[in-house]
Amino acid sequence: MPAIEIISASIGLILTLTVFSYLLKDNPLFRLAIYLFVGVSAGYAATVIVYDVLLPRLDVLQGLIATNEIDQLIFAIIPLVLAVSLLAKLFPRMSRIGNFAMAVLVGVGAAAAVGGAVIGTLIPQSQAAINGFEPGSVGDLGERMIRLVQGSVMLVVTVFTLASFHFSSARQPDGTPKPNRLIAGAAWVGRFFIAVTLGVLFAGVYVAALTAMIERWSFVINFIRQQLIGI
Amino acid sequence: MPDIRCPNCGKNNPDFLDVCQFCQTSLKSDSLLHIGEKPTRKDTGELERVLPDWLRDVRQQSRESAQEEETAQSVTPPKVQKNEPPDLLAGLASQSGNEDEDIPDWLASINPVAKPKPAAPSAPAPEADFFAQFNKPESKPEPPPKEVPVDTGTAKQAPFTSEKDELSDWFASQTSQAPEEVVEPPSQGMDWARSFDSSPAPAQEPAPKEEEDLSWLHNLEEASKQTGDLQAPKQSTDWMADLPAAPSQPAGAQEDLSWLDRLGGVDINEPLPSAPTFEPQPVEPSRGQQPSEPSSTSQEDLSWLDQLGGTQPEQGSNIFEEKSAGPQEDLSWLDQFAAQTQEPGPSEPTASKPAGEDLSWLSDLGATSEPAQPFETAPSQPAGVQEDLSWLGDLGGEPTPASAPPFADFGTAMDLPPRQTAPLGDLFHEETPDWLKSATEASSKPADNEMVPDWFQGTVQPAEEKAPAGQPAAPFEADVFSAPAEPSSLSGQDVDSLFSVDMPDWLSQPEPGAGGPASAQAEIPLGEAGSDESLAPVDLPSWVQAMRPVEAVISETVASPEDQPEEQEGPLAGLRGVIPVGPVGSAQRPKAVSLKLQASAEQQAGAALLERILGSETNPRPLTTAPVVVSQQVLRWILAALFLIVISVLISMRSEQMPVTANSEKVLGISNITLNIPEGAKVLVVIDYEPSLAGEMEAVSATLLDDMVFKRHPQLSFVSTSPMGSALVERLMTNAKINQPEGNNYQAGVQYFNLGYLPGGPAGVLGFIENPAAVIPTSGVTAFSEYAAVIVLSDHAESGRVWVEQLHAQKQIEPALAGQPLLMVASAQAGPLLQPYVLSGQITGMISGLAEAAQYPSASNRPGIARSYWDTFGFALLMSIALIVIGSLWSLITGIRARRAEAEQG
Repeated sequence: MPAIEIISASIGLILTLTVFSYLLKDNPLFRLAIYLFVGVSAGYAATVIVYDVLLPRLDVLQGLIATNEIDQLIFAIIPLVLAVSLLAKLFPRMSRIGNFAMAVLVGVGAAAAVGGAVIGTLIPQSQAAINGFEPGSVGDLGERMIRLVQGSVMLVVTVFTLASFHFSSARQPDGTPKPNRLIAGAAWVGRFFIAVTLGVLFAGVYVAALTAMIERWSFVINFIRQQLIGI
Repeated sequence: MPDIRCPNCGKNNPDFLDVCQFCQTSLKSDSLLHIGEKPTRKDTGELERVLPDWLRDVRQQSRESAQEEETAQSVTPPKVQKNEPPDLLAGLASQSGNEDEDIPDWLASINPVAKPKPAAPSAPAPEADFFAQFNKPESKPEPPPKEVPVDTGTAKQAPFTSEKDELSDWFASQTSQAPEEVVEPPSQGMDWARSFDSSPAPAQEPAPKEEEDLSWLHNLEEASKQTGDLQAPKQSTDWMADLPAAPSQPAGAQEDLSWLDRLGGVDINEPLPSAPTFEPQPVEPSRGQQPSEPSSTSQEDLSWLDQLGGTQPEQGSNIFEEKSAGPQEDLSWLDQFAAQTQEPGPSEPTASKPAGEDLSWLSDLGATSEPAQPFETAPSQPAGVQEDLSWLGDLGGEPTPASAPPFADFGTAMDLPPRQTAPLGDLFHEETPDWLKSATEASSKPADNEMVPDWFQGTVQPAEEKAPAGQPAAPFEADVFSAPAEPSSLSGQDVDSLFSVDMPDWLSQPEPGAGGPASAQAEIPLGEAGSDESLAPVDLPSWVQAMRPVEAVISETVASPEDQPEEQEGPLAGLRGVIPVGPVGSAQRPKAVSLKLQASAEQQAGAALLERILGSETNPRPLTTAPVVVSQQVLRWILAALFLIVISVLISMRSEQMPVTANSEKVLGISNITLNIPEGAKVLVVIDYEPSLAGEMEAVSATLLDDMVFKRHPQLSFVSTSPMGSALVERLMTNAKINQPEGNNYQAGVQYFNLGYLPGGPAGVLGFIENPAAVIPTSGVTAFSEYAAVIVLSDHAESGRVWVEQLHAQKQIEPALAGQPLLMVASAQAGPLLQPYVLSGQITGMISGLAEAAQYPSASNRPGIARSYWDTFGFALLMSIALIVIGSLWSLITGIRARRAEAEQG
C-alpha cells in the first residue's frame, strides 16, 4: 500500500475513532473531527467551485474575447456581470446591486422546481393512482385484481391520510366547534398510516446508519489487521 | 356700623353714642359683661329697664302689695291664704297687648285681660293681677269651693274672656271668701300646712279688697318666722317642715318672702352656703353689689329667683320692702304652710313675715316698679286665701286639721281630699281651671321624700316608688336654690306647678334617684332591644360571605346601664346609661374595614405561584451539576460495546453464512436493464450523496456498477449536484474495484470521466439535460440523449426527485429521451420516498438499501461489498431488533409498576 494511502488511512482511522469517542460523551476529539470535516468540506467545495465553475467560464470568456466574437461575448459577459454583482451582497450599502442577480437565481430556480414538481410529480403520480383502477391494465385477472386491491388500498389510505390533515369543522349554536364524526374517523385511520410511514422511514434511517457504521468499523478492523497485524 | 337698640324706647342708635338720641337713655349698659371683665355687682333696680313689662308690673305690684300689707298687718292678723297661690303671672295679663314682648300663649292665657302695659312699670293693675283677687275675698264670705265668682278687683280690669281668665275667675271666687280665714292644713299629716297655723289667728279683719288679697300670705310668712321655721333649715323629711313658719303678721316684705325663698332652697334667716341669708334690712342701693350680702335679705332670698329670672336683685331695700309687701300678702298662705309643717300653731305675723320675705322672689318675677302689685291683694284677703287654699287641700288628699288660725278654715277645708302638687285627683280637675290642672299635672314629684308632707307624700307615693328611697336632693335645684341641704325639690315642685304648664319629667325629676329607675327602665328596653337584635345566624351564600369585610365587626355587646357609672353633674345627674360610656377610640368604634380580598385557597395558591415565578425571573438559577455517570450513559456504553463486539467479530470472521433472500423481480429487472445498455455507451452516473453515507452508498451501488461495467463496458460520466460529490467518485471507483486492476481496471479520463460539480440545483439539472455541453463543456456530449442510461446515486429523496422530475419533463419534450432508462440507487432512508416514482414508471429500476444490493446478482461472481457486509448487517439488525423489543418490554413493565405505585399512593 502506498505511503499516502497509509497516511490517509491512518488519519481516517484516527478520525473514525475520534468520532466513535462520542459514545462516551462529547469530547474535544470529537469536536476536532467535526471541525475538520466542516472545514475540509468547505474548502473542497470552494476549490471545486472555482476550478469547476468559474475558471472554465473565464476561459470561455477569454476565448471569446480573443476571437472577438461580440455576440458570444455579450452572452458571456452578462453572466459574469451578474455573478460579480452578487458580490455586492457582502456589503450592506451595495447589496442592492446584487438584487437583480439574486432575483434571477430565485426566479429561475423556483420555475424549474415548480415546473418539475408539477410535470414530474403531480401529474404522473395522479395518473399512476388512476391507472391502478384501470381495468384495461396489462396482465391477467389475478394481476389486475391485485393491482385493483393495491389501488384501492392506496386510495383509501391516501384519503384517510389527507383527512388527518383536515381541521375545519362546523360550529354549534353555543359557538363550540362541532366535529364531523366521519372525517374524525377517517383522520384517525389516516394518522395510523402516517405513523406506519414514519416508522418505515425511521427504519430506513436506522438501517442506513447501521450500514455506515458497519462499513466504518470494518475499515478500522481491516486496517488494523492489515497494517498492524499483517493479517 | 352696628346700631345699638335703646332699651327704653327701642330705637336704633349708632354704636358710638352713649345715650339714646331720642330718649336720652344710657345705651351703654354696665351690666354687659365682656370677656375678661369681672362681673360687677349691680343693683336690681337699675336693671328694671331691661325687664319685660309684665315682670315690671309684677314687681310693682309686689311693692304695692307690700306696702298695703304693712298697713293691713297693723290692722288685721296675717292670714293664711292657702287656696289662692299668688298670681305671679298677673302681670302677664296686663302685658298681653304688648307687642314688643313675646308672651307665650299659655302665659297670656292665664290672664285673659290683654291690657297693654306702659313701658314704665308704673301703672299697677291690681284688678288684673292675680294678687288683686286675693284682696277681695278677705272681706267676702267664703264662697263655695266650686264657685268661681268674678273678682271685683278684676272687674276694674279689662273684661275677662271666658276662654282665658279661668284662673282669675276662680281666684276671684276664692277671694270672695272671708279674708281672715286661715286655711288650716289637714290634721292628717299635712305638716306642710301646719306651718301656716303659725299664721295669725283667723280672726283677722279683712283688709281692703285689693290690699287684703295677699294678707294671708303675709300671715303665713309671719307665722313661720315666729316659729322660727325660717331661722334654720329643716332637716325633717317633710318638705313643708322646711318651709318657714307662717308669719302671724307680715313683719316685712323681706321676711314674709323667706318661706318662699326656702321653697327655692334659700333660707331667709340663716346664711346659706351659696346664698346669703335673707334679712329684712335696708340695703343701700348700689350698682354692682351682689345680692350675696347678708344685709340685703331680700336680695339674698331672692337671689335664687334672680338666678332663675336672670336678673340681679335689686339692691334697694326699700324696693324689696315694697316688693315684699306685696309678696307677703300674696304668698302668706305659703308661709302658713311652712309654719304648720313645723309647729301646729305658728303665729300669723311670723308666718306672714317669712311669707313676705319669701315672696320677694315673686316681686322680681313680677315687675321692678310694681313689686307689690301681685301681692297686694294677698294680705287683704286672708279669708279668701284660706278659701283659695282649699284647692290645695283638695290637692293634698289628706285633710289635716287646722291648728292655727290662719288655717282654721283650712282645717275645715281639710275635709277635702288631701292636697297634692303632683298628679292630682279628680276633685282638683273639677275645681281647678284647666291651665292649673295642666300645670299641676305636669309638675314633678318631689325629689326628696323628706320635703314632702304627709298628705303630699300620699299622692306622690306611687311616683316615688319608682325612685329608690333616700334619694339626695337634686343638684340642679340645689344649685338654683343655693342650698344643697335645703329641700329644693319642694320649691322646685311649686315652681313647676305654678309656672310651668308642661314640665318635662327630666326637669321635674332632677334627683338622681329619680333618674335611676328611669334609667333602669330605659335600660330594660335597651337590653331587650339588644337581645332582639341578635338575629339568628343565617347561612349566607358564598358570594355574600366573600364580600363581607373581614374585621368590620362592631361589638354587639351592649353594656348594661348598671355597669355604667352614674352621672354626677350636669343635667344628667343621677342618671345612668343615657350616654353609653366608652373610651375614646376604643373597640366601641366600628373596626376598620379590611381591604383584603376574599380569595379562595386556590386563588391564593395561584397568586403565590405567580409571585414565585416573577421573583425567579430576577433570581439567578443555581447551576445543577450533572453527575459524571448516569444510567443513560451506562446503557449507551453497553449497547455500543455490544454492537461493536458483534460487528467486529463478524467482520473479522468475514462470514457470509447468512442467507440472502432470493432475487426479487425488481432486482432482476435492473440486471436486465443493464444488459440492454449498448456496450461502450455513455452512461451518466449522478452522485448525489454525502460523504457520511458513502459507505452505504458504495456498498449498494458498487455491485450494480461493477456488473454493468463488467458486462457492457460503458463510458461512465460522473456528475454531482453537490461540491463534495465529485470527491467521492474515486472512492467509489476504488471500492467498487472498477478502477482496480483486479477489477475492471477503468482509467480515469478514458473510461470514466469526472465531470465535476453541476451547479444550479434543479435549474442546473434542467440546463444540463437540455444542453449538457453548455453547462459542462467537458461532458463530451452534445445532447443528453447520448447517454444510454442515467444512474442516480442518492442518499436523500430530494436530489433523486429533482432528476426524476426534470428528466420526465424533458422526456415529454424530447422523445429521444423517452427510451432512456433511469436507474436509481438509493439509500435505505430514501428508498421508501422514491418508491412511488418506481411504481409510476418514472424510475426504471431502483436498488434501495443493503438488502436489495445483496440480492443483485453479479455476473462477475465477485463478491460485492454488500455481501461482505450482509452477515454483519444481518446479525446487527437482529440484535437491534432484540434490543428494541427487550427495551420496550422493560419500559412497559416499569411504567405499569409506576402507575401502580401512584395508584397505591394516591
